[in-house]
Amino acid sequence: MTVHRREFLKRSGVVGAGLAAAGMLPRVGQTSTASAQESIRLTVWKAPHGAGDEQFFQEQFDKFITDWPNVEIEFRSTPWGAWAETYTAAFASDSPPDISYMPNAYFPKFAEAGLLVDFDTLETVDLAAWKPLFDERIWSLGTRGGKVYGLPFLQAGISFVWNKALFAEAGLDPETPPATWDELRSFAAQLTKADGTQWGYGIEDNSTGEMGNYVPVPIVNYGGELTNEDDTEWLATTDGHVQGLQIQVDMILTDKVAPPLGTFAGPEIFTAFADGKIVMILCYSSNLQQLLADRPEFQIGIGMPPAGPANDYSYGGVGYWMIAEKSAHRDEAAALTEFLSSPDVVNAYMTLTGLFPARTDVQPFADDPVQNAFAATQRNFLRAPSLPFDYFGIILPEYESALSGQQSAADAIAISGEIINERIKDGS
Amino acid sequence: MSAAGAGVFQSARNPRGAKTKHIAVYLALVLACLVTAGPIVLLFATSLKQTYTRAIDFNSLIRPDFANYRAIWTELQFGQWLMNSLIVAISVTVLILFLDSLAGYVFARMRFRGRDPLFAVLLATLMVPLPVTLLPLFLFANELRLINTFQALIYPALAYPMGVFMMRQFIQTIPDELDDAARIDGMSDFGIYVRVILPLCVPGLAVLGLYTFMSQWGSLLWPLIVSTSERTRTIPPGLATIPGQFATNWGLTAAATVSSLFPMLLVFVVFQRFLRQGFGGGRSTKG
Amino acid sequence: MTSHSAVGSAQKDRAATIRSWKRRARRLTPYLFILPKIAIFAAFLLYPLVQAVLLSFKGGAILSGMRNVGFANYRKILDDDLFWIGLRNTAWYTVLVIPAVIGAGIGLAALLNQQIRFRGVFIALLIVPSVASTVAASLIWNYLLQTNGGLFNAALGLFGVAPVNWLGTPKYLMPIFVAVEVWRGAGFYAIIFLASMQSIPSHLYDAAAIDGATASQSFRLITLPLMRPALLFSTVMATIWNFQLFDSPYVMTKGGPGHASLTIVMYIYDRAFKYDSMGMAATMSIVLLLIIMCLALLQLRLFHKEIQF
Repeated sequence: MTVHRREFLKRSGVVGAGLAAAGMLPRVGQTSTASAQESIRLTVWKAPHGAGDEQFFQEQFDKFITDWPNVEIEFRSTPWGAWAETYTAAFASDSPPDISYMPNAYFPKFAEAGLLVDFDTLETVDLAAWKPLFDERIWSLGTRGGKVYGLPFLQAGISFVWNKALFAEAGLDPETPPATWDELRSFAAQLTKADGTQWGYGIEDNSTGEMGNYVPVPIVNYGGELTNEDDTEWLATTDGHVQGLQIQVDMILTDKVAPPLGTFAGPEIFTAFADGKIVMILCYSSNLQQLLADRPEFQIGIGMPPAGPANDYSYGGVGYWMIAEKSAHRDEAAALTEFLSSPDVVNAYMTLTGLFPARTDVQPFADDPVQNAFAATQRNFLRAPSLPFDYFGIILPEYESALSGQQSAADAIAISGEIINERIKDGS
Repeated sequence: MSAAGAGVFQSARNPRGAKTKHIAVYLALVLACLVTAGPIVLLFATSLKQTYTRAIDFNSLIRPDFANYRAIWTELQFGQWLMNSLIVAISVTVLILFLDSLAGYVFARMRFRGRDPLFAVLLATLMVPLPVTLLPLFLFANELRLINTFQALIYPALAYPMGVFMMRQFIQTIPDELDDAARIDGMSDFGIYVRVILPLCVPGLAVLGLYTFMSQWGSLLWPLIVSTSERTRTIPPGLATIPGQFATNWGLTAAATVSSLFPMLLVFVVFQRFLRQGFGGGRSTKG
Repeated sequence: MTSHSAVGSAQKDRAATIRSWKRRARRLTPYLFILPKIAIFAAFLLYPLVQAVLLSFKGGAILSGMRNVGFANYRKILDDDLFWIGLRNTAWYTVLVIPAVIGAGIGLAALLNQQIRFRGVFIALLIVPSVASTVAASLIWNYLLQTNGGLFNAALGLFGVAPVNWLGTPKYLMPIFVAVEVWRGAGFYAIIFLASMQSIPSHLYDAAAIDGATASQSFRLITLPLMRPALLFSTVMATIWNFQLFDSPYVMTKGGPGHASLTIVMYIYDRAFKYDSMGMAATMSIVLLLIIMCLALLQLRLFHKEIQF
């Protein structure tokens, strides 16, 4: 027994020491400029818009490399749920990703800290040729302080969808969606079955951090903009804003026409919609793309979100390819950025995900009536605040608290407003 | 191994009661095992089918589809994660066992200036939560150009002082006389450490080794931030990135989760033998 | 005569010198032995810790630069609702989980300590969850607690009970994490306790039986007291570990819904990385550190008799 044990320990000790030594040896670092003289490594980070991101971008990179043989590209798909922390840590260090995909709502703090490249300083990029390819709004959302920080890649705006068949079943006109939130509330009452098999309306929970696409819409429709023109004050603290949140709270907790948050976990609420368990919902075209493909008989109604007393804004954003200031290979990164924004890549990606291109000259869905209907709703977005910190992380838990009955809507609105205004004052 | 304490239920007063109690023991254990192993079985069943929902059904056990287990190597990078997890966990464990037992020996046996204050410092830092040191550590690792390297994953783990505390406790229960006897025989301190102390520490080392391996195997936060590419990604951050913004492939997730259990299970089975030698003191005489 | 003694004294001198070198070397030994550990400890734990303390007196964001604000952060904590919510959640969780997981471990160990067959099989099955990382365990329980079609709700459905929104109901959340941790940890503690139980000499039990002691008396008066070191160590370890609860809520609910499952470490992490208030996060972590220290010392003091420090 003793002998065996010693042998075993000795052997495992040797193996372990070997592995430890392997681990201790300096690994080849991030930039392998050591061996091949001109071999350059670029890193590209992007949060996913579907399960096929990794494969898709690898294929695209292979094409890029045929023109740039000395470039090696490493792609990383970063999780949405940890977006802020992942990019903050990376940009705080000396080795941020060369290229990042950043939504308009998230990039300002990096721009303000001087961590993103101002595209005007890139000699190889002809901005004058790029700018006309995009809507004014889309182009300017990628700027800050007059400087252009990225090339727009995709835009995604939410739409209001409803199940036409179930509308008809309940005696409602399947071609007429609710025009206001009050109307939606009463429609929902008629569309909800007491046994819990059918809900009139649905709100996605915050488990994947996506709630911020939907819940602010009625809040803004009732109360007006979230911030003032130059983003120096958070305005979403009025009674109107409270009302916008309250109506959603009521639909879940009082009227019970929407399922309690978490009944369907995260994106499964869209599966529930596709299965007829929820009749009306706000969503992105990409949420439903696969689900609809699997259900060819589904009759979907697509339109703009209902309006409120203050306005009829929808919610959407634009994502950009941005370059890190600390990138060691600016020219190559710029070339790759331009490649990723080229018509072929854009077309292919939109076809894959069902989202919409930022550039106006690419029409991936010419013949698809459903996608065209979605496309028609990609407008009239509320002005997303450009604050140098992650305000969603502050307001969403408060709103979620209200929606799950832990605090009143009034408190949620007041508290989140307080925190944000204080942070704006703090300058952080 | 004698099952000391087995006699507890066989009191002289009620031999028949002992029989029913005996059955009750088996029943309780079976129930406990159902609770612990049941969900794993369920997970396994899920891994054997293609599913984007979480509906529970056991059909897949009858008609298993192992596609997911192939997919984790191709679609995800499970092979890479596994390799990296192994490298990190094994390196840390081996080095911790060595460093901490040596240090524990020193604190237990030797007197030197600053011993007690130093030990107090070590102890105090035991309770430091990870996020405190997380970003300073990240920036520090960055200064040393160690981001996305195995050193960054291994070194900080070696700093944790719990093993020192544990080994000191353990070694204190080993009688001093053994040391003295060895020293009279002319052994150096290091010799005493290797020949006398270490062998008697095996149960303590086993627990420490097991615990260290387990915590490295499951470490999420630090690797999530410091591993910026698949090259150094370990299993937990890998698993955490599978659920996507859109429908999660639960079959695939389940397959990856189940697969991550096997190495740990193996380690546990191996170390379990040493644990049975008794915790709470090396016994140099059979008692 | 003189030459002989001269040679002899030279040899004696050399021997004395060598002895004094050896003595000096032995005096150095402790320092040498602990040097690697202390060096690594200083570099990768102590230094960042000091940096964190310095950070706690700073405000601003790590990206845009930080500036000194003195004790302002510490004052702000008193007003910070989320800090107290996180603390409350964590405390509630810890109060529930320690007795639960230690108790379960003792219970399982006691069962395993009986004269049963297939002990190895039972142990193997019981520790299976322990080998699951917290991420794996959380994914598994996410799966089970799924409102639509999860195992628990399916079981409830058999009894005609409506599905429960487990992860969406605030008051269930901490107990759920307790369940996850007990499920995951009981087996591991059971093994430690079993080893401890098995090192208790059986003649003590025989003597007690002869004196007419019942099973539970034996357990209370012999087994438990003799397990003290193992129990104490596990309890303190478990308290420190569990007070830092992060993985399960992070994977399962991200602190939601609202702040119902926000733990203190989660909030520190959010503050540091999501809200990018590194200084504030450092401040909170220092406060947390002090709390944990007090808890641990309290526990040790309670068991003071058994521990020689």
